[in-house]
Amino acid sequence: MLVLKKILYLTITSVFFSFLFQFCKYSTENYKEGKKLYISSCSSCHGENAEGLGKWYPPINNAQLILQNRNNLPLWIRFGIYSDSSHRFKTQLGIADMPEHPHLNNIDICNILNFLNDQFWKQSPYSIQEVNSILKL
Amino acid sequence: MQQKIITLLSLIRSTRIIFFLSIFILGIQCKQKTLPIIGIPSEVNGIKTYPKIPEFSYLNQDSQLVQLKDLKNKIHLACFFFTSCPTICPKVMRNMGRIAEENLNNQNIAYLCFSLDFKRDSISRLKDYYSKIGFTYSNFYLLRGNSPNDTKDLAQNYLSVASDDPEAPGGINHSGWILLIDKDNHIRSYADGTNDTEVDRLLSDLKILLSEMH
Repeated sequence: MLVLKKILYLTITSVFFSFLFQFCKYSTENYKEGKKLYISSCSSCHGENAEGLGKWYPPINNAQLILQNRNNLPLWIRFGIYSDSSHRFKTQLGIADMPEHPHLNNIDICNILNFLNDQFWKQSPYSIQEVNSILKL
Repeated sequence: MQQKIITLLSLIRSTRIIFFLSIFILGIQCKQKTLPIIGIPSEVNGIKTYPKIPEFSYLNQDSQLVQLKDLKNKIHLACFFFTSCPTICPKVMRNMGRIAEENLNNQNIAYLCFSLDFKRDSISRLKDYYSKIGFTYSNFYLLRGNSPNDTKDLAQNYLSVASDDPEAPGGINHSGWILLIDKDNHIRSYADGTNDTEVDRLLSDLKILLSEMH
């Protein structure tokens, strides 16, 4: 009887820990993926710590960015921002054009934004549904 | 008694060996390192001559003429970029800034960033770019060529490739080297300007080259 109890106890704790472990792994993996994509697609201009370089390559480590542009950020990443008025999004004059990133899918964009949010902005994270609905516009 | 003396002697001998060995190692470490001259030398009558950066005269972001011969007695660091480059240039420029930042007030170093985009990078755009990336270093020049292709030709002398390519991001295909040139216009070291650890190594090479000058 005692042995049975022990076995039961062990299975319960192991299941609990594996759940916990998987949960942790899931959330950090997301930011890890976002970080990887940020480094490869964004960091050359915006810097590894999102500090930017002067005004030309603007810093993106400020929470104002998401507070004022929550519904624009996914679109900006996908379509870029250009001083040329034929483009969808226009930049202020005298700032570098931001290139479009057609190779990043909705999940990639969501991961990048949530990585930045986790590191710098500390607001509520994007859900994939939110990013999907913004990019469908 | 005799045994004790023998062990004492061997102890002295071994310490002596360690002593000389450490002096030897120290001696190797203290020996002045020098950087090689990079490039394939041509040999005439048994005298090797290494390739040099050829003379050029370009305008910088302040419309001042910058000529290679004006950089006499100066080491220079060079890179190739253009202001609308969406890929590696910002990273290379950031690292050029880092090198300048670590050598503030050293008047023996000049920084040359050659623009590869003759059409879009006018002098006023280069000036605008320089002030907006927030650089205020002395002897830091963004240079504009005199014709659409002369900078691309010059790039070859800096072991860099550059060509117009409509397929490439921003329309220009080019390498991201930062090159270290001595006061005799020989290339002495270079690093991938997008790789921070390589640039760290270039910084230590720069120190070696500066110590050669004194």
